[in-house]
Amino acid sequence: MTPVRRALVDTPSAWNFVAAMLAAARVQQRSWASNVILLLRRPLTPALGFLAVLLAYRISGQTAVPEESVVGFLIVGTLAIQAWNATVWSCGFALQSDAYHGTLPSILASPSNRMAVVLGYGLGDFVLSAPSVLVTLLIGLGFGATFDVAHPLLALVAMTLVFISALAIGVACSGLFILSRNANPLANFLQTPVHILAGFYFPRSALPDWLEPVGGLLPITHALEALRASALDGAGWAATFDEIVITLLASVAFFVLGMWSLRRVDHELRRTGSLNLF
Amino acid sequence: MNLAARNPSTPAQQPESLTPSSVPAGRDGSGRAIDVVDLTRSFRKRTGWLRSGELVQAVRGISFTVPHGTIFGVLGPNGAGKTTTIKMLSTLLLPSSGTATINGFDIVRDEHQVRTQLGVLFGGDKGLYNQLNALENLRYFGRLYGMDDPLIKQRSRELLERMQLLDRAHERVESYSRGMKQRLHIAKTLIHDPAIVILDEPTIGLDPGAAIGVRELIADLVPGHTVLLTTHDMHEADLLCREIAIIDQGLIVAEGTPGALKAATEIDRRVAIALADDARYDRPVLEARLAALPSVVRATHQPDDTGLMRLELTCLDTTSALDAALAMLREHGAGVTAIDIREPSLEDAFLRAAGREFEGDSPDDDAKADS
Repeated sequence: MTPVRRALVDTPSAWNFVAAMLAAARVQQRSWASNVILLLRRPLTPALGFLAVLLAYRISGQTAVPEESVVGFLIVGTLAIQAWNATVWSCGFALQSDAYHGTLPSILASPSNRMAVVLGYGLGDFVLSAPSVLVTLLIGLGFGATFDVAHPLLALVAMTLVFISALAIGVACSGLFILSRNANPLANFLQTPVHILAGFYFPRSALPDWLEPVGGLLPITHALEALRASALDGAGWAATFDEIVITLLASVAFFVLGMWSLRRVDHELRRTGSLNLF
Repeated sequence: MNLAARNPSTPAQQPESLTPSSVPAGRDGSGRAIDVVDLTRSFRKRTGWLRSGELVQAVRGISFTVPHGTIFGVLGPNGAGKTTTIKMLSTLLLPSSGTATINGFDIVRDEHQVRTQLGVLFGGDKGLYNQLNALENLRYFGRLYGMDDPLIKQRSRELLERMQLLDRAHERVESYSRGMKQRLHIAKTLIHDPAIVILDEPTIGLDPGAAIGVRELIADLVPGHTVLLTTHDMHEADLLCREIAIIDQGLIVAEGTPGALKAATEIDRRVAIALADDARYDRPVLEARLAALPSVVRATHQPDDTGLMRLELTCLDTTSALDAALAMLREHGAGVTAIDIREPSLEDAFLRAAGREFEGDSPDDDAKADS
């Protein structure tokens, strides 16, 4: 056995998973970084969405939503939209973009875990979103947003949970996106309902009674509520405990669903021979 | 490496007398790197939402064995079932029936182990991240095979040097020529030093110079690796492969060494020599002397209305027959104006086995193209 082959046999699989995930994240980052237009679009699109919705609120004469000012409420919602855009789209498109590049067969023929690749793409986008988050916060401050953060660590944890929960939804959807070969229309279709159901731009209390619980099924809804409480209302760990735990549990459920669906999709692609049909 | 020296127009391009130490024996000790038994694969043509499409059999029961440390060719026209076979062997497609093992691992039951054994170069001009450079591409695919950074760096350097890409290693792949990309594809395929390498049409779309370079790289892979090569290039198969399976419409129609396949065509080896017509020649004597030369079976005069004397030698070996004939004709002061050599080719082997010309796509090509 050659030294390379021996080294591969000796590598633990948990390390392989992490290494593949980080490598996929790097590929995602490098791909984005090579396109200036995409890099500029990343913070600008949510900012423009924020401005449009803020305008709608002001035209309607509404300056506050329950318990919060409109600007602060919208800024946090815009951060969640960035998390959504970064992770759901990247996970959804993960393997589809590889089909476009012609790299999908090589990835699927490797012994790597597909979940590691999908997660890696989400992680890569997550890191790329950091400047956009900063831009959003600056825009919010420019429009007079006021933050009341009693526990900075809690706000940071809540912000991270927003991204993790969006990543969980992206992973859960990725199998469906791949199998349907229609990631773009599906992601577009999901976008607006989730924006409404999770309360990105409008308070969930404005939803009809029968619709409000549907948003509660999404982990990002609870992560967003924890973030708003910790960043706008000065809430502490105890006050946000329930939302954090629900976010974590729901995220785990979505990740498990994603793992199962990716495995099924892998089998289906091999059964039907539709690997290259994108 | 000089491929011509490697292929003396005889069946054995790779050393037949590989020592046991130079050829990996394989996990199961069978000496077989790839073992395919009665493999089939069917697809339904896509016709619409409600109607179930017609069933197309892309691969209709093929069997072959590839010994360790050799290059085995799967030769056939477009749509013959080559790529479908490769996709099944590389675990991207489930067979409809039949079995296959890679280094003793079953392609359906042991998919993970099969993937660790294989390096696959898929056909087509895509398959790399164009925005990344060569090192970044290799790093990613090395990671997917569980390699750590130092190992990837060392291996990338070795491979890029071998592929003559080291000085362009930091450039984005989008600036590479087609030949450079294909060499990088091969480096990507070899990054984890796979025991078995599957190459699907590795020289398709390359200019002749680039194709020669890629063929030299492939030839150098044995005996350290086992290579399964699909191609529709007869010359390439003849040059590189120790054994060839000719596949047509999902079936193997002939199998053997290139020499054996050509010999089976029963087409004579012939050398035609045209001489400036000269009444001094005694044609029957000349024919008799030519026929008496070593390796010449028969010498006949071919009527010609262009004023030349055409002699046709049926021979066992064209090279030695031509050498001897030219030496003899020189003694007679004959002026040779043209020489034409006709050897049986793999085209002839295909024609004999498949009953049709090699050119043209298989009738079911469209249905299988998307698979």
